[in-house]
Amino acid sequence: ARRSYISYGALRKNNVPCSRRGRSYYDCKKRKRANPYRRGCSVITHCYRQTS
Amino acid sequence: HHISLDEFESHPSTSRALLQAKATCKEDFAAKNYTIITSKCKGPNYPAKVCCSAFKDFACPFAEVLNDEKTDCASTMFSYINLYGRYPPGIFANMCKEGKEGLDCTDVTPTSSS
Repeated sequence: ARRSYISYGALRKNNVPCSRRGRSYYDCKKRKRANPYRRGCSVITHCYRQTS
Repeated sequence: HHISLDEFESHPSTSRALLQAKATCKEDFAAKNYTIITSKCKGPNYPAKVCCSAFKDFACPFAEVLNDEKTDCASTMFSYINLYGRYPPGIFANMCKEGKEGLDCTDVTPTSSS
C-alpha cells in the first residue's frame, strides 16, 4: 500500500492565528494591545474595574 | 423587481472574508464519532503518545481530504475535535511530530469512524 501521511500543513490548522490574550488577531507579535480595556471608576463596582 | 442571481455569487477580487476563504469540505466532519480520540486522550496530562496515536486513528482515514489545502477540512475537523474533547488550542500540532512528511498513517488500522 502507498504510504499516507497527515501533513504538517493540515496539522497546523490546529493552531489558532493568535492565542495570546489581548493581542490583535491579525498581528500577534505587536506589543500594543488590540483593544485596551479602559473605563472610569464607577460607584456600583466600588471602582473594582478601574484599570488606569 | 428582482435581484439578479449574479449578486449572490462571490466576487473573488472584491469580496472580503475572515482570514482565508476555502472550499467547503466534502467530508462531513460534523457527523463523525470522535470518541476514538476523546475516550483516550484526556487531561490534565494529555500524554503525547496516547493522544497522537488516537488522533491518527481518527484522522488517517481522511488523510487525503485533510491534506488538501484548498478546502477547510482540516480546520473543520479540529473545530469538532476541540469542541468534543475541550482540548487546549494547538495541542495536537504541538505534540504530534514525526518524520519530515508528516504523521505516518502506514500502521494505522482503518476503523470506521462515521
